[in-house]
Amino acid sequence: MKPIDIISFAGKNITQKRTQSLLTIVGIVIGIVAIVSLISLGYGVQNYIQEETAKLGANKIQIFPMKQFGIPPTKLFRDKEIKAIKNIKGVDKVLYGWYGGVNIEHRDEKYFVNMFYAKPSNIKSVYSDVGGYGIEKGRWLSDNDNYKCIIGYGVAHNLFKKELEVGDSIYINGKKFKIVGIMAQVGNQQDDNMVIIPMSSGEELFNKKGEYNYIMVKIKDGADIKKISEDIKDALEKSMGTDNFSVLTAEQMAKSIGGILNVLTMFVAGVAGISLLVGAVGISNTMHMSILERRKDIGILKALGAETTTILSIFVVEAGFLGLLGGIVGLIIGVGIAKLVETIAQNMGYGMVQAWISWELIFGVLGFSFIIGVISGYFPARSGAKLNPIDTLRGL
Amino acid sequence: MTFIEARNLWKVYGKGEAKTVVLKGVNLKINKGEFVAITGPSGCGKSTFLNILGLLDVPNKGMVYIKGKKTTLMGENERAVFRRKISGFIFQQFHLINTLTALENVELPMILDEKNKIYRKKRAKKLLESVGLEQRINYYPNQLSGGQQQRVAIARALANNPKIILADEPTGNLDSKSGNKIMKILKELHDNGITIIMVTHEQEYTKYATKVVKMKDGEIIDIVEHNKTH
Ligand SMILES: Nc1ncnc2c1ncn2[C@@H]1O[C@H](COP(=O)(O)OP(=O)(O)O)[C@@H](O)[C@H]1O
Ligand SMILES: [Mg+2]
Repeated sequence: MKPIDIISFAGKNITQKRTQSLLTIVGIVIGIVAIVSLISLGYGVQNYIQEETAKLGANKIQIFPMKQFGIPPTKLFRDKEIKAIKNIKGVDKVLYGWYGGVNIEHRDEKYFVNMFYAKPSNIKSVYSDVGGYGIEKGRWLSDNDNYKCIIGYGVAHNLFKKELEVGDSIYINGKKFKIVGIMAQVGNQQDDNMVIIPMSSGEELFNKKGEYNYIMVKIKDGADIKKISEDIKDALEKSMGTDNFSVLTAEQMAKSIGGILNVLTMFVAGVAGISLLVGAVGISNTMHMSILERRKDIGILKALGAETTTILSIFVVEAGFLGLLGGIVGLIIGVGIAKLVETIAQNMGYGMVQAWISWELIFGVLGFSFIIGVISGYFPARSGAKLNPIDTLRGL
Repeated sequence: MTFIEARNLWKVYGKGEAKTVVLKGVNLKINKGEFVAITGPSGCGKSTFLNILGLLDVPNKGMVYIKGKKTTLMGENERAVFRRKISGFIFQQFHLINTLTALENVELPMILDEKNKIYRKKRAKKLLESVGLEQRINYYPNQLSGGQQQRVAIARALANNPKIILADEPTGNLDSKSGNKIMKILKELHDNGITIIMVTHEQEYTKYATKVVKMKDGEIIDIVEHNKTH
């Protein structure tokens, strides 16, 4: 029998039992959905983290005045600490300032966004060096700017009904600021939904003087980031008399996110594995039933001169098709879910999270589901192919 | 010229207490172009004998020679090839595939023999026409009468131009009118030079045969040669 005829024969069997075929593939569908969304989003998030890490640099250390986010600081950083850090060997540049939340208002629309202030020359020098930050329109702040601001990509384009432009004015906590620049998209919520103002205006606005809750250190090229982190910790502890602060490298941040991701990956992989197993058992069972129902047909085919391998191929291909069908449906749903999550993530400001959908993924998944079908159909098919035609034609 | 020869065929089913000896040393020679009718009471081993002659079954002992070749030494695949290229089976229960149309059923042996699609369709149509079913080619078996189903089965048996037709009580499930029609077709095939081996209960139909083989309890008890000319 020609392969094409085997395929059409097997296909006919499936389409003739549509409901049963659909029920059979549910397990495979669930498994493939889990796998596709897992791989596609997993890769997407991994790419995101990798890009973030690469961009925000292996050369960047962030310092916060608390051990954990969400807990208020006991002691803030002062110029003394900045100076101590600057004196550490291998430290290139230090950006320091205040990170907080503000209300911004424009034409009767009011939103709560992130705010960062620091010395303008300091911002420009560090941001253009650590990578990932750029100006889309307008310019960076300069040291003699007062009540001027730079706004993040999201604030400019997505927040207000009418997009904000360079030259527009917004009210930050009630004070009027003129927009001099719009930042290029960074790809994360914190940075894109931010306004940056000069330290002078910020200290007036927040009624602070010489206190900082955020430090970013850029290390010299080729310097040992681990050793510098340790040195910073020692210096800060000595200077502040407390260890209630955290010194984080991009690598550490990526690791902690990656850790959460791994747990999630293992969970989804477990779900996928179980569903695929259930799916395989389902296909195996269906093929077993299908062969029982068609004992007589097997006898007829053999009487007409079908070889054992022909019968085997027909049933194995049929099982493969069931698997493939499950794969196609699962792929469509899985890609749909991945795209949905991507859209939600982008609406939440994580524009860099992109579902990874490629031809490798598509053909890989389809091939995989076909093979699962073939494997689960093989043993029932073999027992069917071995049936004695005399017995089956006698109705035994 | 001897076309098929059965020499000392034995067939046993079961073991110990349940053991039944179905064929007890059967010998028969069939010439090319013969029409052999096998008769005998139910359960005497006619079907078993026919299936062995058609290489659908193998004897426990003895040998079937076809054109002098020892077929019993063939492997399962080689016998399958013989069944689809040299012989065609017709059964009492028609044994059509219910999920395929008449046309597709007739195509089946040609599909198994890897004939191309255009040839297949054309020949299947022609064969169904020749058995008077040109109006029914797209009917499923359950939409056809018994006689019509058996005619589809005959068309199917002829698909690969067989040299031998093996018919196991082809009229057994049919009324006499349909039965006569089937017999007329078989006679025509015989007239066209095909060797026919037919198991039958009906004494009346043995009149078409050139050789009538009477069986009882797994043995051939009588062979009558008709030697008639057509
Ligand atoms: N596969 C089988 N297993 C056990 N017994 C069988 C089998 N096939 C046939 N028999 C027995 O062999 C005997 C002859 O059967 P069969 O050749 O079909 O007889 P007939 O066609 O003359 O009626 C019967 O008694 C039948 O029950
Ligand atoms: Mg019988």
